[in-house]
Amino acid sequence: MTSLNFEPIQLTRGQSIRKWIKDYNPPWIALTILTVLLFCGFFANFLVGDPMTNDLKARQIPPFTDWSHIFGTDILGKDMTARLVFGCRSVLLVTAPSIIVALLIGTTVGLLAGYARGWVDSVLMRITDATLGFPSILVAMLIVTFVGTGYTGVIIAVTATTWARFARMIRGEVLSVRERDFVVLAGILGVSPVMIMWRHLMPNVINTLMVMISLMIGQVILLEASLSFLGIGMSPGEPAWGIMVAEGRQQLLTTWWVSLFPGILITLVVMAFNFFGDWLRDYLDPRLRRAR
Amino acid sequence: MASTDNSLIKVNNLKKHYPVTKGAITKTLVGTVKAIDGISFDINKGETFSLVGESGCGKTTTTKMILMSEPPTDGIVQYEGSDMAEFTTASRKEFKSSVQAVFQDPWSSLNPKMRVRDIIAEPIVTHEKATNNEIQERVNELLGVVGMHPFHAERYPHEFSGGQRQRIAIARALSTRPKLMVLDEPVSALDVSIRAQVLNLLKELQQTYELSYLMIAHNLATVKYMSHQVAVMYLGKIVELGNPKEIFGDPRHPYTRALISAALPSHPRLQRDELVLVGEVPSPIDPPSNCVFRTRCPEPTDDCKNGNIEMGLIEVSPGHWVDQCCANCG
Repeated sequence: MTSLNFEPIQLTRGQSIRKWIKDYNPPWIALTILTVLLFCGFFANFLVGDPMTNDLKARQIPPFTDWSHIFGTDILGKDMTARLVFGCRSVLLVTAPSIIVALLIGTTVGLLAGYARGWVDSVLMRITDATLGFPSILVAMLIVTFVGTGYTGVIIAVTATTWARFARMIRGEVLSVRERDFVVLAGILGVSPVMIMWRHLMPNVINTLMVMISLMIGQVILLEASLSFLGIGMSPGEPAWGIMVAEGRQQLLTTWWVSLFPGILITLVVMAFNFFGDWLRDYLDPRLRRAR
Repeated sequence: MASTDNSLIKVNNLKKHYPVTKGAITKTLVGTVKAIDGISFDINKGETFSLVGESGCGKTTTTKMILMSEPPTDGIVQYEGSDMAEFTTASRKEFKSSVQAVFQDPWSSLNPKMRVRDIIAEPIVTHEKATNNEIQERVNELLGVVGMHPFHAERYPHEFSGGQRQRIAIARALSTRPKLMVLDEPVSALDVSIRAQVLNLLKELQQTYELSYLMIAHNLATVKYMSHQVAVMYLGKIVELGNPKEIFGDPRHPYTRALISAALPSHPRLQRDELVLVGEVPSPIDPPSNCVFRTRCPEPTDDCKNGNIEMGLIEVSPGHWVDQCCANCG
């Protein structure tokens, strides 16, 4: 057989999945943590009991001593397991909306500033700089003072301090993409600025955006935890990890587990998002693919 | 100048000066960069007009003004007899659809996130109301015209080679059936073996569709092969203008001669007259007075310096124009 029309090797589904895993080496530990976080967040009410019930007869049970309270109970006898699992839910409930809103505002501002340049750029970027320059906790305190604690307050506070990072990042990317010939050609052709942004600029900054999102989620979780810890985030008693760390603070030497476990979870989840973001950046950049 | 009724674009005394300012808040003018300083030429229907000259002499600025992506400082560009500065919204839109551009780098001129079909269809979608079926048909036809297959339409640019990408760029430029195509070094980024293919394709298209080309090229062999008219530019001015036979066979301006002698001959055994210019191109902020070329001219006279010779081009033989000052020098 001397035919040059060789058939491409057809991989079965299983083979191609295995090949993908081998080539791209996804971060398994991070993905597992994130999957557990999502699962617990969505199904918290099926998995565990009520995180708000006080059981004063079963106060301060140390972890791993009582099978009905594996992670122990806090000073009011609330089940730690239930509170930790419901904590996943509040992480999702705060993070998702604030990231989405911050993303929308940040992307719009970044696209406009990067594409229009001139005074539009100057005005938008000075606002962005001002936002970035302000200590985020201080801004959050101000906002929570006006709106009040709880989900809405935290989401507004977190959004107000994170949108600027998206704006900066997107503007930088747009500045480099807009100089490429296909954007220049579209301009010559008479494509409207809105269409240029939507058709040419946006798709070419989306990779950066994806990476940015996964890294920012970690930051947002930390910020929410800090706010809750300071008592200006979620309402006291809510099953949020930051609140739990704060609740355990006074009895750190005796009931150490009340602070320790949510602290560990915050660290794990933030790190998982960061590792996932790092991997995603490599995966989306063709030049870095197969580099390892 | 040699104006005929056959012209599509008429450029008359075109100037582009960029102000050079100092200070961030109170801007003071410290000078002007004379990127283009009074050039005139015609682009005829169905012909190729080439601009040659070294980097920074104003070739690209000229095309930018013809493409209306930058307004001229002074002078008139006429398209089919009407002044481009006085275009109405409608005529501007019509102009934009009948003038297209192909750029040098096919890796940067195609949006990596769009399918070939959408890239080629973008000018149609922007300027015409066409149904999806019509667009599909046009795209397939255009791919055929540039020697590609309809199934390529579903692919992304990174799946193609440089030559194929440049074909896609040409197909896109053809999609609104333009009258003028601006070719900014259309083949210099391509492999030598592909260049001839793309050039021949461009020539064929020119004959089929009666296209006019405004071409910028550094490769003089390309210019000779493609052009009907060649303009040699130096420091924002046209110093010699004529058909390629005259320009390459009987160059009058010393700069043209230096340019030709700097290019490799078509055969290594061929003898060539070495003419190497001394010095650097003067800064366009402060160009030499009177004859711009006098600082590098091999035989400058006092007349060049004190401006006893009138400036401008003179016709040395039919259709062959040379800068007056230098026409007699060598």
